[in-house]
Amino acid sequence: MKSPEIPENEQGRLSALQELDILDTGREERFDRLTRLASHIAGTPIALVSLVDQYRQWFKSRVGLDAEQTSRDISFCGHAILQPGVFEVPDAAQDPRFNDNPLVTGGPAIRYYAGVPLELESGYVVGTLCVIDQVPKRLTEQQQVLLKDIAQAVVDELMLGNVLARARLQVRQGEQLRATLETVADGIITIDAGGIIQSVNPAALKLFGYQEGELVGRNVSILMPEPYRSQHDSYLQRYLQGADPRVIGIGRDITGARKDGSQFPMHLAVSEMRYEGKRFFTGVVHDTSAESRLREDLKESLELRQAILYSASVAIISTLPDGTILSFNRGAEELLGYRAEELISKQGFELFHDPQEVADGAAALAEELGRNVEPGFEVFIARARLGEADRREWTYLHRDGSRIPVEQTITALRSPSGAIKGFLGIAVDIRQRKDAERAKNEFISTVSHELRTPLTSLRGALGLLMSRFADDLPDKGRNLLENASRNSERLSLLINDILDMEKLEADRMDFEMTPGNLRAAVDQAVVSNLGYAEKFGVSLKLLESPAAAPAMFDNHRLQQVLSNLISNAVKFSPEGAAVDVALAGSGGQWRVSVRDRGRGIPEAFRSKIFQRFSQADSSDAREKGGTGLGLSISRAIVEKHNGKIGFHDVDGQGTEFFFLLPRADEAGQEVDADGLTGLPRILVCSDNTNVADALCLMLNHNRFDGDQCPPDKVEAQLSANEYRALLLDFSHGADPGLRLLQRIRSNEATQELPVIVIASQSQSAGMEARLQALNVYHWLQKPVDRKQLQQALAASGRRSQGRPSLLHVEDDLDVVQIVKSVTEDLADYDYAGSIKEAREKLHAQAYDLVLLDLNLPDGDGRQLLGLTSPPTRVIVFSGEQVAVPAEGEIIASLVKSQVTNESLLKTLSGALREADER
Amino acid sequence: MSAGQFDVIYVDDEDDIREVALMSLEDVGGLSVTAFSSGQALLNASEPPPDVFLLDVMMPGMNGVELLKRLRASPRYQSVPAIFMTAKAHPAEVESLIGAGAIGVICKPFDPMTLADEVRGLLDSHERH
Repeated sequence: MKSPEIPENEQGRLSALQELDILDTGREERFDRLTRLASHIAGTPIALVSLVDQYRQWFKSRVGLDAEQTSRDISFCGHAILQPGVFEVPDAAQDPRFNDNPLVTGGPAIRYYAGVPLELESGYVVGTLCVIDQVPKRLTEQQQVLLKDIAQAVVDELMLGNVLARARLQVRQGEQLRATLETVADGIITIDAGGIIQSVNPAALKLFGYQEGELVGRNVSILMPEPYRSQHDSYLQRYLQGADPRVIGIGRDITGARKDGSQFPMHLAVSEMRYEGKRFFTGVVHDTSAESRLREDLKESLELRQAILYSASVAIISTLPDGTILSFNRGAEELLGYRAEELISKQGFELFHDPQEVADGAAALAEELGRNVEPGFEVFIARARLGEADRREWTYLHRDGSRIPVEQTITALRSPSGAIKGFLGIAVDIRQRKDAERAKNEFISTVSHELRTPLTSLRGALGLLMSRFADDLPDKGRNLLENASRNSERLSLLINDILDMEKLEADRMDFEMTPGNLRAAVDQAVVSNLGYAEKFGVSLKLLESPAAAPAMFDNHRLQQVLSNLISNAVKFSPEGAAVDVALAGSGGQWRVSVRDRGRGIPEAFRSKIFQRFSQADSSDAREKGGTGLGLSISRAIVEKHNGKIGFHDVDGQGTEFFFLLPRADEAGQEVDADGLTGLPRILVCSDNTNVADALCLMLNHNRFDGDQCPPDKVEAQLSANEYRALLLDFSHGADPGLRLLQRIRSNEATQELPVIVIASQSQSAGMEARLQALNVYHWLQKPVDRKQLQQALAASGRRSQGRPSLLHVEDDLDVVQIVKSVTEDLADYDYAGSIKEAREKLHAQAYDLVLLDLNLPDGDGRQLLGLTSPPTRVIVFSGEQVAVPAEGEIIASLVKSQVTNESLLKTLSGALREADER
Repeated sequence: MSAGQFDVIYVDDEDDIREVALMSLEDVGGLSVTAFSSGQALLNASEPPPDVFLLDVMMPGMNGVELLKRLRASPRYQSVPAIFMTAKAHPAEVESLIGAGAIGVICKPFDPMTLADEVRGLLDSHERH
């Protein structure tokens, strides 16, 4: 069998067939009468109007056949449409193209076929008029001519149906278009070439304030204000003559006029169309009042902002996150002597800051934040990055080299999502303020000195009177003399304090810092205040304190602080109460405290307590007599010692004032905060000194510093020092050990202290649950090996149990910000900005995963590989173009520019899940 | 009330100043004085109304101005004239103290030899008006 070929113009042929809109429609007499005629003329039982669709032939009309369609590949008509004229198969059983055709071998058992192509005006052949018989035969010439005529009549019927369908479609489309015009929000107006309005949609009527029927037929110019109204006709004429297409095809903003004469801004887009040879114009208008207002407001606010920026007498400088200057206002130009264009796009901040101040600032910041801070732009913005406004005094360097004291405030500029887009610096010249302060201080100093002269004779004279002649005076006279003497003493104390204060503020007080024993200084202060305490009926004593407390200090000034704190405590103590002085080590500092049992400090006064001349109200006269400068001076002195001073309530039973001074070694060198060696300190508690020695040795190997103490000293040791962790040997028995742990956990300060318990094999049974109840998750069985110990220490340093932890090594803080927010729900996030910082973190704590940038400020991130044991898994996250091969601990490698947040999250969560399962 | 002799109630929190002022008013000026170390102490004492109050301004707890307000609120002391004593001698300060209802202001440091005369003078001119 030969299947019919597909004609070359098949695509167009199928479209033409589709357009007839006739496939699968019902029977129609106009076609049926033609097939009846064909059957009669040809003398065949079967006649069909067959339309050849893509895969089938479908019969619009049929005589003598029940089937409505058959497959195209077995069809006779598929062949008939390929040639012009009558396609005749006299005996299908003898024809090799059809002898095995199922239509021949099975029903309807075709033996004879003749088909005439149905060719449309367009030339496409959509099917046939065909006749079929079950016996072989041949048509006469005349029969063939008549069949062709009938085929043409079928074509005419097909075309006629099509014209009707088109007309129906146009009506439908017209209705749709009308509905659209009625409902669109924009006004649509059609005019003819004479400018006369042909149609207006409801939106246009509403926009211009007209009723239906009021606009059609009128000149469109009534919708415009003068002078456009008068010009419109001639303008339209010019366009029609082929010139000046100012509106056609492009939209523009113009003014419209409403019926009531009011005007409004609108956008107009005009298009031209031709209909039945005439030219029409359709205008789409859109009221832009709201947009105009918004634009106007925006412009105003921008102008206002510019004006503020440029007229401000303060310096306003904005930068990118890396310090590149973006804007530099006139205030900044005037303050610094640079022109904006000289600094914009440059890393200018360091240019006008005193380098020494920046270096000092970096050191102070490093201490405050507990991480390395490079002297540079970071010094100014580190706090702003944390979300604070950083307001501090700095010295700016003018272009001419002069120094200008300023108060500089830095804030971070953030996008709505919180990412830092840059920084804003505002600096105010405080030369005048500084000058005024200096003048005031000098005045105070002069006045105080001048006061001292007469006061000296006054005190002298009164003192002499008291010692020589007091006995000769009557009681009243002696009382007056004592009164005078007492108050002249008070006045001279006051003047001394004012002078001290002024010296401290002007930084003119000399400090003789020498290495000494702080314990001796505290002893001295206690002894010299015993008499004063006795007068108030208060018992003053020094609690148990270390015998040696090396520190650098000026003993004379420190005595002033100690006496001030002790005498305050005594004055505010009820009679018979105790004032306790104590000295203790606390990390790298010494802590000296003075505790009273007085009424405490009123809430309202707390914030002012270190201010000058501030004394809490008191009706009890004996609590007074101070100058109101003591604490203010004490704070200044302590701060000059690089220390801190503070106070707190002791559970409503009095107040403790304390100050912290840095520890020093024998030579007077201040030691760093982690203890003498600078290594993290671990407290090792064991009954057995051999065990303790061995543990300390292991710790040393692991680069920790071990302190030893017996179980009964643990709590004291923990409260006096800061430790990274506690190694607790249960050598004195499991039960006492657990009781000790309970006490340690009940102390707020050590609730979260990482504890590693070391137990013997016999103690191990059931230990785990009991330890976990005490917030202890790590315990080792004897004998302990060094590696186990290291792992337990590292793991115990984890910030929380259960959640995986991620260390992100990355110096680009924007990336940090993004990764941090992406992984927030996934893991405890920590980051390190340099290899050095990452090393420290990896040493102090175990992480489940490291996300590693390769290009770090202090070298290649790969230096961090192989640092931990067992190796921490690493995902490389670099800006390099080529991914690093995953080998060893590198489990994956991502390239920043190619990774979306989603894919990053997916990779990380997969890796962390694996880590968890390990 | 006799020409030179009258009763004063005096309130000052400073022991030493009170001692001096008391001696000055009584021994030098010959007045009869009852002294208190705080306004509250006076309010608690329910003394009979004096001829004049002499009140220190800067006192902890209740200052002189507040004390005067409280005294004026009590029927017993409603119409007793009051004089303030203050170490802040700014004209503006003095004016505001007069505004608070005092018949006069005496500035510290006062002269112990003439303190009583000053009080007497302020009281006389008040009564003449």
